[in-house]
Amino acid sequence: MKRRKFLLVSIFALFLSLISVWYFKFKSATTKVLSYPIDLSEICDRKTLIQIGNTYMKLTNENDKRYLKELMVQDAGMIDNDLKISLKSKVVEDFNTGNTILVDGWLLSRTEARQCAFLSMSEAN
Amino acid sequence: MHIDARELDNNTIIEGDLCIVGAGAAGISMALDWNKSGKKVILLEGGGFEYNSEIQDLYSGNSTGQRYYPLRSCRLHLFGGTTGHWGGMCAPFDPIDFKIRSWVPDSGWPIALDDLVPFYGKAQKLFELDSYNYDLQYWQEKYPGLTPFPLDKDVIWSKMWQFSPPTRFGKTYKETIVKSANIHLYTYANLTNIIANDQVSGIKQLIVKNHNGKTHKVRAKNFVLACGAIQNARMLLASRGQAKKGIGNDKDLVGRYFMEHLEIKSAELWLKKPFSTELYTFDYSTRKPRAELALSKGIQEEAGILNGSASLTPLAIAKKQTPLIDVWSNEDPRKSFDKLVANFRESREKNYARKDDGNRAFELFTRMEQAPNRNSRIMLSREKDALGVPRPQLHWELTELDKYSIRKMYHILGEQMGKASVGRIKLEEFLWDKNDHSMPEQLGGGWHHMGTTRMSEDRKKGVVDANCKVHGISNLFIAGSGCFSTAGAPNPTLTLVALSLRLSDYLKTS
Repeated sequence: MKRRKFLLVSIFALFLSLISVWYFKFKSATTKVLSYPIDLSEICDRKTLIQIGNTYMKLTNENDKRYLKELMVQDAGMIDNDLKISLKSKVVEDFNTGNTILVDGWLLSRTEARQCAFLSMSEAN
Repeated sequence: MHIDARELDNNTIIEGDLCIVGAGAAGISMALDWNKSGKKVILLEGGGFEYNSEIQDLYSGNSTGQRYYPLRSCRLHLFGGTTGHWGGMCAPFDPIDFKIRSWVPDSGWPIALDDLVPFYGKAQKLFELDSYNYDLQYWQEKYPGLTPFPLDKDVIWSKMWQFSPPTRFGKTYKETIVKSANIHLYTYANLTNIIANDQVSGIKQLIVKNHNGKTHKVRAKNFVLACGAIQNARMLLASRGQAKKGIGNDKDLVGRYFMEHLEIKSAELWLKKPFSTELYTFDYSTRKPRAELALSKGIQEEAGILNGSASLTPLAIAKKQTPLIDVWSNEDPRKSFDKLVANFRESREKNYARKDDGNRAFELFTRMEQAPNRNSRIMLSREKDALGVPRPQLHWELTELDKYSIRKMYHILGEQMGKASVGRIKLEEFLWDKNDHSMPEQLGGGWHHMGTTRMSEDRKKGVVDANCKVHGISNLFIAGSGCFSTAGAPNPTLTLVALSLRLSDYLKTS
């Protein structure tokens, strides 16, 4: 009986560990995607991206990480399971629809500006 | 033939069929058009064949409002006029430039682009340019490396420019003029007064003077003022013997609507990946055609903005350049010109050692028309020059539409660059605040003076009619960019010569 109970607890513990690893790995990947404006990163260095993020937060009061994440994920629509691709498409769509904002002189897609803000907050943490 | 007016007996009466005042781009182009015509053409030039400081000083004046170049040095007072220091950039106006635009007050010409096309072709030859063809496709066949950015053509297009050597009219056409049997060039013959008949319906004669104390009278069937937009307005305003407000100024329009091109560093373009910008880069060694990023007719209308374009300069070079308005500050045009050349040369030489930005970062430099503005104007000063003519006083005034248009142009460009995933645009700080309508001190002009004797079929709205004839005066005409109703985006020289050749044609056939 004791042996059987030990095995069950062990299996459950292993399952919980796997879930945790998967969750943190996924969360980490999501954070990375959300804080990485692909096109803009090819133009600006990390320091500039963080500076843009800081200015964006001051301009918009969008300075809560969870709220920003919600906005980006919701706006990206998750039409594709790949958040990275969805965000990239959303950036182009922003330029198409005029959903842009001027931050430190840069004319940016709203989405990539939020990505910069997300990066700034991640760095601060 | 050439006559030095200083050598004539005092009070000589000079007579001819046509009198052209001013031997610059407009005046010489017209005179050449009348060469071997059998008509006696009197071409009056205030200066001589070489630069003379005393003569140049006749152009001195003051300015208020938006900061501007010294009036003394922003034009040249000698045979050949300002072609003596121009850059040679040539492009025709766009069809929209001639149209009434509801969002641009006082816009609209009484002529269309098609009316000028035959004369653009003739003007091209005078400037030693290729054929009158400004289509990108035409030039791509000659230079296959000319590739435009993959932008939406309904929004942004590549406006082509051709480059004159640049032709210095004073050197290139001196021999033809001097050897001509029917063109009588008088140097050191400065117009000081225009004498109208008592009804101010026609011009009887002109008074010309020089520093040697000689005064002469000039009589002709027709008179053409071709002294540049500032000087033409000044002389009309200063000639008050028969008309209290000045010749052609009964509606208080002479000198008003002074326009320049708005030229300023406005943004940076950062490309995601290196892209061949051969199409947009000026090549000093070959002067082959290049393009600027221009706004389509549709987007101008949709956004309610002025016509303009942006040129590209590698950022590493541009960052080494001083704003033109700071460079061209000397009252002596030769010194200002030397500083300008040195500014360009040094920035390029310094950049040869730098490769870090590659071809990914560029400065975007605006070239935009100024909105017609009645309060932007040439007036007369109380001070007089050495020959007794009141000096000019410029009040250069801009409007909210000017600033709005520049800002909006870069927002549009930025959106298009982002949409096409080409890169991003960073605006200069003076464009960040949409509520700031002022222009910075670094704003320059192109040394392009326009609009002071604007064209309109309605004499309440313009000084000259569609044929450049001064309203109400049967034999007085104006040649040059003073007649422009709106400024267009391109430099004015090609268009002002085309317009002058059209006037010439009208005078021959009417």
